[in-house]
This record gives sequence, C-alpha cells and structure tokens, in this order.
Amino acid sequence: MKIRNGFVSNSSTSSFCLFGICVDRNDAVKAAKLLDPEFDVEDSYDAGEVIAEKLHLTYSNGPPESDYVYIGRTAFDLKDDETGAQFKQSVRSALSSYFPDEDYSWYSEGWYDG
Amino acid sequence: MKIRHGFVSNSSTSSFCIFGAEIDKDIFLDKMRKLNPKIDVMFALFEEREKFNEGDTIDYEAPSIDDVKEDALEIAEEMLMKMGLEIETAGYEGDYYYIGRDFTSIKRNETRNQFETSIKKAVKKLFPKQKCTLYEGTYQS
Repeated sequence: MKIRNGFVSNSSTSSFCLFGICVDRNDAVKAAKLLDPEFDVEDSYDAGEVIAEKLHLTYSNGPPESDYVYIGRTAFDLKDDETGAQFKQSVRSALSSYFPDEDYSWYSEGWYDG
Repeated sequence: MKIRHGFVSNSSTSSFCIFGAEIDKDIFLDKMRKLNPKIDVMFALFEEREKFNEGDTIDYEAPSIDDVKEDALEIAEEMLMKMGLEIETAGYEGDYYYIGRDFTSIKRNETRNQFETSIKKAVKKLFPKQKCTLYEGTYQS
C-alpha cells in the first residue's frame, strides 16, 4: 500500500475518483478537435488531455487498452466554499456543449498497471 | 469490468474516495471494544478460549479471531453510522481502516468546508489526535 496526498494504493495499481462522464474515445476525439482545431485525430489517446486542458477539468484514460475516457473534476478539486451542487453543475456546464447526451456520475476506478 | 453505482473497477480491484482519518486496525478495534460492551464480550470470549490447552473440554464454541474481528466491525459500522461516519476497510491486507464519509456523499447544499468540518468533529470524538484528509485509493479485492 502507498499513500500519495491521501492516495492509498499498492504500487502496481492506478486509480482515480471523479465526477463527470465516461465517453467513447472516438467521441472524445471529436470534442478535442472542436476545442483545438490543430488537434491531430490520430493522437486519440491525447483527446482527454486536450479536453481537460481547454475546459480546466481532469481526465483519465482508464485502464490500458480501454476505449473510453473519463472527464470531470476530482474530489481534490472541490473548493472550500463550493457546494456539492455547484461542483457538479460546473462539470455539467463545461461539458454539456460537447457531450450533450452523456450521463453524469461519480466514477471511482482502480486497475493494475500491468 | 464491473460498474456499481458509478463505481468502476476491473474484477480484482476496488476503489474508494473518502475524507476522514486513517486508523490502525488494531487501535480501531481496541477503541470499539472499549466503547461497546458487546464487542468487548466477543473479544473476551475469544481470549478465554485461548487460555484452554489443546484437548481441554470447553462448553461453548468460540469463533476464530478473524470471525470476531469481522463481527466487531459490523457492530462498529452501525455505531459509526449513527455518528454520520462510514468505515472503509480497504481490503483485508492493509493495516488501516479509513473512518469518515465517502466523498460522493457530499450533499447538494453542503460546502467542502461544512463536509470536512462535520467529519472532523465526529472523528475527534473517537480519535482526538487523528488528523483527517482526503483518501483516494484502490486495493486488491
């Protein structure tokens, strides 16, 4: 088990906890292209990073070889005076234009790095 | 892959995200024993049984220490729930329990400050010297 800023895990695993969406990588690529016209669609694995950077969010590509991307805000990002509703609304506001049909939820995932 | 209430993991790992305190398992159970007579009796019965030598006849069947700890944890979970706290066991192999609230349980009109303050107050009643922080992790399940 290891602890990193309150992060508990054994050494061969990765994990995250965020509120947001889990989208197909192809949809993430389309959104990344909208946000950054210079984005190379061949770099599909970087789509989440581009979206997160442009919208000031957090992302995770999920387990190796997975076909989806998680985008949202982690619990660590919640401001001291921000309510749960404001936190969730900020994520919806940032993403709804690019992912209008996605369901929003808390996602907590862990996997072995291999 | 499994998906459970927004909880995603591969089949051999579990994840959690909790604000609270990291408590050594033995220290936690010892504290629960002091606070709850039922838990104390469970451990006392086990300790009495340990005093017998092999071959001695005993008139009751005591559970193993793992069973005792598991049952104690169930009772402790109920106790803590009444205080607005949860226990994250983080699997069997770790040395700690995490006492607090799952971060996903933050209420709509609750700020982070309010969320954390309420947990700190509740944890302080049980473990006055323990500091609270946000723990996010995964473990083999």
